[in-house]
Amino acid sequence: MIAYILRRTLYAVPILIGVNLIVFALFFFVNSPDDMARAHLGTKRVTPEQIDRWKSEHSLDLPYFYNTGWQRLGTLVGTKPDNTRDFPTAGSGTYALIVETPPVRAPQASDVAQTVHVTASQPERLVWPDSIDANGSLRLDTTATTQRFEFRIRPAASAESQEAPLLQLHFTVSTPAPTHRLILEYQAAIAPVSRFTRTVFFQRSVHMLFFQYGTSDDGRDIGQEMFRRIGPSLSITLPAFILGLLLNIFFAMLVALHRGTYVDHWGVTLCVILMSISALFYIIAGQVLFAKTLRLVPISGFDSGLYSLKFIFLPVLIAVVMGLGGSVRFYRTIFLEEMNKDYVRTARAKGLPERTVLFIHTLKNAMIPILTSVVISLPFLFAGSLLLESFFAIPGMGSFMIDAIQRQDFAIVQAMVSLGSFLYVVGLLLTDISYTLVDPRVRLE
Amino acid sequence: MLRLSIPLRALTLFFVSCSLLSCTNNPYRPSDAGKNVLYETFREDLKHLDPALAYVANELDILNQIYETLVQYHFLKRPYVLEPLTATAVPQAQLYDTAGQLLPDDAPAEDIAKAVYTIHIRPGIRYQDHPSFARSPDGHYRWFLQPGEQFPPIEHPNELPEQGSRELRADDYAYQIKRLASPLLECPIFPLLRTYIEGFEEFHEQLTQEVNRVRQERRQSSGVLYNQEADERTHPIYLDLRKYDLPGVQVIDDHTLRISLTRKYPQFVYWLAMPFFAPMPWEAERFYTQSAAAEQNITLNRFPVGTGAYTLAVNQSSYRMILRRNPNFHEETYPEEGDPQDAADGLLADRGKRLPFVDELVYVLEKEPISEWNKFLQGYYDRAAINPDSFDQAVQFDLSGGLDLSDGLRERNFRLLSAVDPSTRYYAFNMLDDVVGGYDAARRKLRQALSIALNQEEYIQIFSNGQGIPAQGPLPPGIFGYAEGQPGMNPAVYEWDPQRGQQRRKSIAQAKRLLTEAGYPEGRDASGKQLVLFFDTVAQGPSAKATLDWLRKQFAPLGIQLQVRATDFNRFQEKVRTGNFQIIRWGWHADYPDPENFFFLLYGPNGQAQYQGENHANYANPRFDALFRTMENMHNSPERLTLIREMVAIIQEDAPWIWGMHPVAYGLYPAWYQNAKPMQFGNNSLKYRRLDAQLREERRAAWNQPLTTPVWIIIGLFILTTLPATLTILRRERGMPRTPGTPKQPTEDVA
Repeated sequence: MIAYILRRTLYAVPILIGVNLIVFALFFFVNSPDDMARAHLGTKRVTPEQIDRWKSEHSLDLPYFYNTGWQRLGTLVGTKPDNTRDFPTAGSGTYALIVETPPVRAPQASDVAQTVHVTASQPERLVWPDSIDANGSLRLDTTATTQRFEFRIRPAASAESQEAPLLQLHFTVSTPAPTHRLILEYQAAIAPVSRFTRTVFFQRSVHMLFFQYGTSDDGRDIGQEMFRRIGPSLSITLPAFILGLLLNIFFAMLVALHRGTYVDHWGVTLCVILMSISALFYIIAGQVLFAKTLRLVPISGFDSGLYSLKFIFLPVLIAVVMGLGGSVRFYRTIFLEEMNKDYVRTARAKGLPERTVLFIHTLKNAMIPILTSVVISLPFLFAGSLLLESFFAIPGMGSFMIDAIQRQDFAIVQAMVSLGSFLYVVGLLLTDISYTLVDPRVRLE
Repeated sequence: MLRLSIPLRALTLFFVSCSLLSCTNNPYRPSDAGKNVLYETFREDLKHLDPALAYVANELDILNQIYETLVQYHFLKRPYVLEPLTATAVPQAQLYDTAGQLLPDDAPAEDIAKAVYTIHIRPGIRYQDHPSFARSPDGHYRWFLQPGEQFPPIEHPNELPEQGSRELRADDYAYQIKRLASPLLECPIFPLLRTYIEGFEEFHEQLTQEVNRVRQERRQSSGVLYNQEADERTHPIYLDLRKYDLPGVQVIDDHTLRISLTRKYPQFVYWLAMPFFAPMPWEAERFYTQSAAAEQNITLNRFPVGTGAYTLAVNQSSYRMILRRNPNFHEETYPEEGDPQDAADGLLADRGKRLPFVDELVYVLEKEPISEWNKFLQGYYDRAAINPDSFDQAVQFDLSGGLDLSDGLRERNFRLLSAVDPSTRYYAFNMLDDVVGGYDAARRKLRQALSIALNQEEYIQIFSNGQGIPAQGPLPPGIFGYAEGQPGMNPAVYEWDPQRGQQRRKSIAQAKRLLTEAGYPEGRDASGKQLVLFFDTVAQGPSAKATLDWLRKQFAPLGIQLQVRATDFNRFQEKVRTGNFQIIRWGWHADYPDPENFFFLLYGPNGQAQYQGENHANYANPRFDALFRTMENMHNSPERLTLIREMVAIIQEDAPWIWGMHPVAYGLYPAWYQNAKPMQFGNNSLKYRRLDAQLREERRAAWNQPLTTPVWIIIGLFILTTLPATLTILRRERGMPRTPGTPKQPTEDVA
């Protein structure tokens, strides 16, 4: 069995990596790093410089998966007629100038940038491809938004010019605009490992596998925040789970025991009704009834320690009632199925009262399928309840997740999904193990 | 089973009845009863409590109680005026030319090379107690630790045993201004200020180079697995900004600060009233950038250090924040004078009394407006805004069509106070667009026709419950330059009705005439094709459908078809950024009460598409721009008013926006809440508020008597319904023959 558990744990690793990869791809497919920066910097007075800086602070200016070694030496955002900036260079080697001219609706077609003019302090060291003309101008394709020009810088010819100031490059765009962006990149020597580690995916995802959740995009420690929020989440989910389980079994047995009577009939009808009502209705009706009309519990809120009792009463009650319909019907079916088995007939034939048969003989065997459905949900108690937590203002994991999605905080979303997938894997494993404990016929190999 | 279950049931019954008897819907602790605590709410988890970063209403609300700026808005006077807070007077700029000669205040803007504010700070103001000021007997800072040393485990810096305080000095203000340029922080107003404060840009460059150098070093000294974000979270970079000189901000002595701007900027004093310009003691930043603090998530962004009336005592931002009275707070008294109406409203009863009145402020996270409203009705919050969900319960229309309290609330002695928000909502045309943009007469008439057709009065009645006034131009009431009645009316959309003495929206027939003149008779162009306009929005789903349908319906009488293009926020922003839209809906909430803060939204060089500014309509009118440049450099005066009138007339005629509405905020205040004058700028108003906690306690008790009877009825009904079935079972079992000698099953165990 230990070998089995070990093997299953090893299987979990590729699953978790895969989940990470999918979440990463989904998130970055919908949101570009620029969008994320904007979501964080707000809608008032955001400049392209701020967006660039935010991205670099959060390692979002790196390549996604594979770093070719191109390093950004400098970015010039927005060009003005009098604004010319020198790019310091990193010595001889291969360089690239990237010109971004977003498709901005301009008053006149002539306002679209046509050329980029290059001057250098030591022009003889520059080796350009053919696209440059005699007086040092690069012709831009006016229809393209991003263009890349690669060039080389030769080593200084003599030792004397080695001492000379570093080569300065200086670019001017023919029609300046604040949306233009000039980026100078340098092909640096890069260690083979860094090709994978200096990427967005590595910097922002891999540590999740080791339960290092890092910082949220607004600079808070996600691990600590989760730790703080697990308590409030558990204070709802755990009582709701235990109470729910007991009540579900109790009512299922009650209905099964009374099978054929009006209790069975109306019980099942009631279950179907309970299943059909939307969760939101339970929440709002519960709040109106218990907090507003009867004034027995606060409408929503939270407090620490024992003071939280009055706040968790209503969400727990609602969570139990919400789950009641489906579970009671399911368990009732299980009970009825067991009650038609041979061993039950034998027990009855012995003349045991129906109650004894149900509680002693049937219950034990019916627990096997019930256990399956219960154990797998155990780990998810830690993940909290999205709906209940947001409506009852419980500062738990569920509301953490919802807030993060609303704020486009990728770090938190990814941390929560990683945790969720981990819990799922654990849940499956626990179910398998629990089989061996309750059913001696099952062996794990 | 029955034997054991009877005492068990009795026990359950006992517990249920006990808990029912002690039931209460009071969300606070019993020990809080009768305390002088003010309860406020906040909408979403607070991201920034660092004054260099906070720019969202919820954050500013809290920060303004803790930090003190040089100047503040007068609590009672309207229109808003500034008064000194920690400064001895409201700063006045002295203007100099390039030769350093002092210029008169009305000197032309192009002559001005420098505007210098010399600010004197009141002596004797002290910071709240904080570990960063604590000194050991040998004079060293107690909590500036050596590398490797640790704090004891703490949740809040004030849990550290030694605390200290010191006097507020001019260099604290200078330090904070330097922080605004720090590349380690993302100050939202730095791009705006960078060209104003002398040497700010270069200072920022210098800091950036220093930070890049440190980062490079750190990267090189660690391996390939280096993760900058993770490293800087636990080992923040500390820049001692005192070592870097910023020419525009000079400390003359402990109580004198000199700020030099590169040109005249009269609106600068308004920025001085925002927490961006709050004082920041260097000790605090030094304290918080220690890894010992950062590792425990003790950061300046969570635990402010101020001189204000309150200090942050508890930061549990996922559900509540608690502020307590600052024992070191300096002498400040309730204003002696206010508006003419204030004395009658009882707002001057506390004049001259020492502030603050309330001992503790509790901010509770409330995401659901319905919960917030119901708790307010139960007496658990001390103030509530009226939102669409609670509107019908809160107010009713009185005979004259105005809003008044509903009978239910009037019985409970609530008060309804309203104030026009310093904001405007509008529909912007893209002036770069081929159809709706452009400055020729035809395009202008098209925009005017559309402006007439879009009936704002109807929108306000239907979708805003009458909580707004139709805008005539960009300026809301309360802002210098706003005019009431006929002089303020927008003649492009309204006409004056002299009999009723009020304005009247022009008729659809007039709009149709304009449309014909624009080249679209009956909404069709020369080739007979129907004019189709595109409205870009992020609004989607059932709740937005009503407004969008209404919008389509407005243009239908003109024969124009409005196509709604709903996209997600990212795509929408991109369209706006690059100028690829025709009509959008947008809004602006003022930073400060000056007309410049509204007109700049239409200033040509702020065009969004070309210059990445805030002018989403990409409107550029040379005459308007010229007037703007003159107007922004003037103090409020009749001459300025003349310019403003002309500017408003230009944009009313050009109609780059469909002027929407200025929302009116209605606030409800219970009887125990005193000094309840709404304040929309500054937000540091809580120190003026006073509570009758005893009265609140009585009202809460009267309003929240728990009802337990229905619970008993439900439990009773449940037992009753199952009883017959149980009896049937028992009867059935009894009727069954039983094998003699079978041992009785130990059913108790499973009961």
